[in-house]
Amino acid sequence: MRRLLPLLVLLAPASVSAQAMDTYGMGSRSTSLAGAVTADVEDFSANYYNPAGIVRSGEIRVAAGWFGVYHDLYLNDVDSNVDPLHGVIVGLNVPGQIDDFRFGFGLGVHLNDQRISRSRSLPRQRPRWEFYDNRPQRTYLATHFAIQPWDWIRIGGGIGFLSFTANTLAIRGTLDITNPERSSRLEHSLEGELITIRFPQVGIQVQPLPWLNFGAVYRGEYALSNDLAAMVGSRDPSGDDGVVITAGDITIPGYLNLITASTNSYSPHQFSFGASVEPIEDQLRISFDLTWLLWHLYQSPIGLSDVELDITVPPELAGMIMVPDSITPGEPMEAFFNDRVVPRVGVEWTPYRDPDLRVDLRAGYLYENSPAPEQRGYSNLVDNDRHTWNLGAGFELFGLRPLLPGSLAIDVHVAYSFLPARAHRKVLLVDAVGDYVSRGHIFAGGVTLEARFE
Amino acid sequence: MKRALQVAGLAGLCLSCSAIGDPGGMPDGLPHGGTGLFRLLDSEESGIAGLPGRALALRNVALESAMRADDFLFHTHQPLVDEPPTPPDDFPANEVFQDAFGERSIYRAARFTEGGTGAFAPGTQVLSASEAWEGGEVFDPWVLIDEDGAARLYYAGAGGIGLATASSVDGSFSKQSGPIITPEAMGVARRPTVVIGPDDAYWMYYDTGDGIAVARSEDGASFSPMSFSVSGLDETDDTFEVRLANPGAARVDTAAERTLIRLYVESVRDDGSRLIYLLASEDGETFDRFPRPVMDQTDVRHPAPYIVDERVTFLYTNFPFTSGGFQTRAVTVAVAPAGERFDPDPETM
Repeated sequence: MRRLLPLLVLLAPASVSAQAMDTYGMGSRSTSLAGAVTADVEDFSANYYNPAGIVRSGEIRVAAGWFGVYHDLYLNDVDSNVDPLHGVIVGLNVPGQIDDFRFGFGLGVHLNDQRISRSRSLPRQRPRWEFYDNRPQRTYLATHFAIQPWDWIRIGGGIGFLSFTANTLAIRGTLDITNPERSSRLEHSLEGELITIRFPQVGIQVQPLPWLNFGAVYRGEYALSNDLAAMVGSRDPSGDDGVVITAGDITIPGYLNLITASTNSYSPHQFSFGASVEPIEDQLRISFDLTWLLWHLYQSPIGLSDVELDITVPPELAGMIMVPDSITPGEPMEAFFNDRVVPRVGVEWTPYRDPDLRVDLRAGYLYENSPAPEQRGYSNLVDNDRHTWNLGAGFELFGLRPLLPGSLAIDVHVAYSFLPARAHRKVLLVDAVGDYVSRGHIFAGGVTLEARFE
Repeated sequence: MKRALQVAGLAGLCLSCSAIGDPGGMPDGLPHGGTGLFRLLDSEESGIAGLPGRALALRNVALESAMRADDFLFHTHQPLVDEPPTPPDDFPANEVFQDAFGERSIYRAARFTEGGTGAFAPGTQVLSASEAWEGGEVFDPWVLIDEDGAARLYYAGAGGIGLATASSVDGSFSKQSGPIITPEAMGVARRPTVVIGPDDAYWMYYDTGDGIAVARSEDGASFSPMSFSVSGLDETDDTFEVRLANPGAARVDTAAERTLIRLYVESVRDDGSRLIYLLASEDGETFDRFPRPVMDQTDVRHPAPYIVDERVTFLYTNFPFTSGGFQTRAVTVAVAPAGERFDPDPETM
């Protein structure tokens, strides 16, 4: 029991933020193995792939690196202009030991260099690359704790939190509808709040034999809300926050309230199961992963919108200004996604090793079937199946004392994803978007430096 | 080794400093289903000063029922007579007072060779009335270019719809004897619009005076009547539809390997206004209706689509125009998606 008490630490607040890593991986070594590392990951990327691995090596590990992703995605052979993604990754694993009981803390950061977080409210019917446009535009920050109660088992986890946004836009002043550009006097204020939410991540690694490893991870679901309230005027136009609408000398009392509530980013419950074997000790490692993602619970980004409009038209302008009796609110729309099972395989070969240098060559492949159905209706949440091939290399330098009492690892990777063409045929022949074909390529690469202190 | 570490450290610093990025943009190049709203090209795009969307306007001439085939605009041409009578006081606004204008014939205008997207220079006559069934005038041209480059000119006369052919769209047209479509009793047959349908047959839609009729042909000359039905709501609730009129058709081969017929039609409203709606069909007979007008304007007539590419559609229509003190019509061009903008470059549009 004493050995399990530290698990209570898992209940302490930690922070995890959203998941570009689901798509592009974290750290060059793990990414070049296609993420098939759940069973035996032990570098800083354990903070994403399996927190149990934090305690595995028993070394202090400090890592920093860079990643870049270029999207080459098309709808009907026209470039969709999806933003590239690049930034830095930082990680830290700190082990500890009490008697023969080992534990460790971990920290992982994935920081996009263009923005910390992005919220977007797109028109409801507008086509969007659901997994590549807005979703990766997040900062990932994770802290974990792991224990090794016995030599053959490691358990780790953390509780993450990240933020959603609530924005309020208010406009006040005078709006002259006869000469809006010259005669209007308007000012606006925008208030945005980042509010945190939490989700858990736990993992386990089991090593029954020195050459055989198993692992499992659960990552919790999260949904980032994106709430926007825009107010033009107020019910009391004489108040300080009112908008006075005028037409020359005529005053038109009125106000407009717009409320939208949607899901800006969503990540489902995920279960990863992995195994790795070393058929040739310290020379060849082969690993497999299966990740089950419960996308059927997906909360569609097409959410609620409501407009409250009240304009009293003066008798002298009756017939010139038409005010609708009501504006139909936008209702949330189901996405009808399906669960996804992602197979991953990775191979790591060590062709060269001497007391000063170790060289690893890596390759990996993963296949992601799209959870999104063919977009035949009103929504256009575009996604395709994805095949990803990864290549990488690692160079670990030893004999760096006294400068570094350990080793320095330099890992690089490149990845290519192929998204085969997928046709979307609309049920309604007069659909505003119409039929289209989505396809594309994604190119990625990165480098990671990790100092390992014995 | 120390030097290697220094280099590695410097590289790491440089990578960390990569955290300087551009603000990013919105996805673009999005597909579009031709539903509008269509935006009238502005005078800078069309190269014609004056009201937005002007594609062709002539003094003392009523231009109607224009359609674009390749680099040419075919239209009904009706000149003002020398001493035109004055219309009665109760003559409806925005209508052409026919007594003030001469016989209608068909003209062909060439696209601007300098500065002007979607706009045309004044053209020349390519077809005039010569047969008895035409009743002294021909109008409502619709040109279809076959795969071998030969052009078929479908047109209307008083006694129905006729056909003229040419070896190319810029060639001389020769009439086929007699009408190929004759109107039902008490009805009319006008404004033919013809496309190659999903079954590679010729599909003709035309105005019967109280709606739209459809006919199908294997050879483009002998047509058999087919059924025509429209499903879908009309969400315009301040006026009510009296009938559909003056169709303009386009064949669209979607990227998803599906062939559709898009039909832009006038919806004649109970208050006399006309709105443009979009219908679409996979089989040529049953059409879905887009529930809202594709243009904001309320007196737009004779819609004729021109598919620029899979995303972009030009819609040629005509608007009220005043010339010589009389109400006439002028040809206009609008584009969807409305966000598309054009340099006045005749090489491309």
